[in-house]
Amino acid sequence: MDAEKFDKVVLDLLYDELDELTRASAVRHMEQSGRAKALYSELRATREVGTLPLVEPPDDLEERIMQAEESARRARPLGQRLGAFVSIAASYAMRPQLGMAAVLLLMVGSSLLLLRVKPGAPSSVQVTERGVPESDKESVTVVPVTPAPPVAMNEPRADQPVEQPRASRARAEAPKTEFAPAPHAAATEAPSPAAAAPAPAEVATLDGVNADPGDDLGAASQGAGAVAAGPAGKADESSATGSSSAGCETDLPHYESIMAAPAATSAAALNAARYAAAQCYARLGRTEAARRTYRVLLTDPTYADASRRALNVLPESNSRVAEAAPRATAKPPAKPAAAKPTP
Amino acid sequence: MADVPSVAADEALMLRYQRGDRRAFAELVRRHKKPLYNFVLRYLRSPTGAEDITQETFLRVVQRAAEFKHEARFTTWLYTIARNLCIDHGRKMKLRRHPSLDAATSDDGSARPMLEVLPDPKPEADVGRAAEWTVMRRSIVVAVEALPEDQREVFLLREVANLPFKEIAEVTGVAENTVKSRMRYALERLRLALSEFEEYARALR
Repeated sequence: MDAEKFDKVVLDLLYDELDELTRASAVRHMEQSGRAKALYSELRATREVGTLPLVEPPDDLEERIMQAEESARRARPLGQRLGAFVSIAASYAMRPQLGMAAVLLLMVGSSLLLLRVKPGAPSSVQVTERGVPESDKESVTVVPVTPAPPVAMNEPRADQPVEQPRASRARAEAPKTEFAPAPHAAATEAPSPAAAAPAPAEVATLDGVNADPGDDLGAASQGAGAVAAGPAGKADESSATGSSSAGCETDLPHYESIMAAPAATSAAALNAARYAAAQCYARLGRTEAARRTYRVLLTDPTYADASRRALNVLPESNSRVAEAAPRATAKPPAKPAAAKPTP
Repeated sequence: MADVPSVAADEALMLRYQRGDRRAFAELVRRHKKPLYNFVLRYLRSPTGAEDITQETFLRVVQRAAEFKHEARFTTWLYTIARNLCIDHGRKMKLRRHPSLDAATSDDGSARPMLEVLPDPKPEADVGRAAEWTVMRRSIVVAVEALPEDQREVFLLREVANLPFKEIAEVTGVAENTVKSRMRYALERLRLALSEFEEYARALR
């Protein structure tokens, strides 16, 4: 440190406002320079002598100040009070701790929001889908009308005269079910009874049939097919397919066997078999048997409405006519073929 | 030398007062009333004016409490207000009359002359020494009050208010080097005025 720099910092040294390094440097300079030491000594002596004596303020000064403060605080206008409040609030809002707390709160809140729906919650529903779903209702109605669709080349119509109509009829009678098979699937999977999937409302009925160990699986599937086309499906007798009467001839013994042993099967399956049998009776022209069976079903609320409608239709015997009409329209292509051999 | 209150505590007390804590303000008044009163007293050279200005300074603190930022130092803010009020008061007094050190300091003449506004001598000192002490103290007051105004305010802010040079620069609105220069001149003047008491002052301490 030289003399010029010492002159700049001598007052800081006198009032102890220097950092340690500069202070040590200034002290070293004073030890080497007599002028610097004399200057510092003079200033220090003057400071010691010139220390002003402090006078005690009047005793009531503090009290007067506090009274003035009280008056000023009360006389503060509303706008100034509001401004003070805003100023305080703003000073709090601008603090980084508050910002960090807000960010933390936001993160915790969003995490809670995302974690609220947990897997395996009681409200979740597990659905097992079997078979091939079919949503196109119109395609199902086409299946019985078309005598030989192109995709039906693999369909063993001649080889399996019993099983195929049963499955196709079940599909035809369940046009409004959500799980009805697709047309091509119906053709390829026609022999499988599982293709005639029941409507959701009749799942319990079908399970009840299958759960019975003593019951015939074919009868159960027939019952399921009947149920699928049952009251929930609002089976429209007048729109029954032309091939149903042929199926009825083969299926009816199964229904009758189920009806003959009511104790061997559940009530739901029994009534399903009754309903299917009554439909077959009606199609085959056995009006009395059909009427009798429908009347039995009037006691079952599941089949009561459908049975009542069927009973209303039965005396007029229109169902046979209605069923015969599409069958007649579908048969003409076969007639020329049959007439050909005849000269 | 004035007692130095805790710097951080002053700002904390002021923030508490901003939130409505009157006890914090009372503590601030208790801490700063003596050095502030002495600063104003030596600046204005009027005990009555010093009381009024001291009270007015604290009243301004109350009125502008919302403007105080916690980054600022309370003492800098307080003495800036006091200095501005002293300047205004000095201008008003200049228009009325020129103050005299020997004249009564209040309009009604009830107040003591400025030279009598001194602390009592040390009680343990004997009569002879007490008389010398009084003479020396009067000489100091006369020497300080004889300083030019810019040098006097720097000297008072440094010695009475105990503000560092950096804060004095903020209060007075001049550069820190200018403050140090004024302080240096003030000390030189005092040294010349009080040279006869130098040995005596050392002996007393």
